[in-house]
Order: sequence, then C-alpha cells, then structure tokens
Amino acid sequence: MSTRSVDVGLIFAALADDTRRSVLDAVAERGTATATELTEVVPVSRQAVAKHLGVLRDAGLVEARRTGRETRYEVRASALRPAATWLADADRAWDERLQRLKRRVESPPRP
Amino acid sequence: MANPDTDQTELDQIVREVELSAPVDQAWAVLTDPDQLAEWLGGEVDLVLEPGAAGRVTDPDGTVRQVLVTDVVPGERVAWHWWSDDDELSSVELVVEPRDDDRSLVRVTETISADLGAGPITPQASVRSFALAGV
Repeated sequence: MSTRSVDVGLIFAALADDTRRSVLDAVAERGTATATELTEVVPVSRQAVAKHLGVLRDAGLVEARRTGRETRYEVRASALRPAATWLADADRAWDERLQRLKRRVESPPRP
Repeated sequence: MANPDTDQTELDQIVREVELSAPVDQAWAVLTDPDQLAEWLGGEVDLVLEPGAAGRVTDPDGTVRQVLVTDVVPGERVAWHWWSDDDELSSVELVVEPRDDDRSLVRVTETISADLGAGPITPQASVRSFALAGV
C-alpha cells in the first residue's frame, strides 16, 4: 500500500467512531486541550479519552505538545486532505461513468 | 433533492445519481450487460455481475482493481467491493429506480472501508483476504 492510502485508511478509521469524533470536535473548539479537560465535555473516562487521542494522533489528525507535566493536543486540519481527495476523485469518476451509462442507455448504438 | 438519503453528507461516502430517459428494464439491461460494462465503467473490464463473481477492472490510467460482486437483485440493485494495490477497499452500490413517464434513476453509493490496514479484522477485510486467496 502507498503512504497516501494508509493515511486515508487511518483517517477514516479514526473518524468512524462517534466518541472519537466528539473528542476531535472538542479539541478543535478549544484550540488546544488536555485529556483531563476533555473528560469534562466527553462522557467517558480519562483513560478512554487518552486512548481516542492516541488513535487520532496516529492518524495525524491531532498533534501532542508537552509543556511541563501537561500534554496538550491540537488539531491538524491539513490531515483531512487525503480523505477529501479520495472523495473528490470518487465523485468525479462516478459522474463520468454515469454520464457514459446515460448516453449508452438513451442512444444505444445501432447493430 | 427528492430523496432525503442523498442529502446526507458522509465523510467516508459519496452518492451520485443520474436520471435516464428510459424505463428501468432498459437501464438495467445496459447496466448489467457484460459486453457493455467497459463502455460505461471505463477502461478494460473483465467482470460478470453475478453474486459471488470475482473480476477485474483496469482504469484508463492503468489502475487495476479487483472486484468481488456481493449482491445482485435483478432490476433493482447491484453491489460490489473493489480495491487496488495502492488504494483502500471500497463498497459500491448501484440502485435503479422507476420514475414517472418511463424514466428511471440510477444512484451510486461508494463507501470507503474504514478499517483496512489499521484496525481489527472487519467483514470487508475478511472478504478481501478471501478474494486475494484466489476465489
């Protein structure tokens, strides 16, 4: 698998979970956040939040910065680009296929 | 849009549709005709749309996709999984619906599989392993 496709797979996997999406949204809203702060907005344990943050980090969706004893997370918006590219490519490819199908159905070639 | 399903925006899914000036049976006949698949899917197509059939589609840019047909309901829907060496596995569903005045609508939904290469074994991943093993 190419680097790009692995990235896309990790991103979609990371976003597939509702709680994880809430964690990501909460980080985005706050700018930066720690796992402890996020337990106030997401109804799961600190341990679970930390695990979700780990998955988001592996997918490149958030990055962690250590300041003293704290680890603060922030969103990397550019990480969503591969996913957006896949969607745009698939959109265009299917529009072309459906237009070809339309032409074929509406004006079949004469035998 | 008339169908509420098509208003949803999913991050891992695209939905496209086209209306045809032809009845469902005519649309279905062309859609599933093995001799015409390449004409609209594009590239080279070695595929028969029957449940469980494995095939191959080579895009005009050279990308080779393995295809595994998962479901065919005559006159209504066809679904398959497809994947290439350097892309994710995705699920495709094509639905044909009747419209007024002998017209029809073809809607395609393509959903990228979330877990390949990253998470636990998914049904899709199992299907892929199964197919790669030579089914």
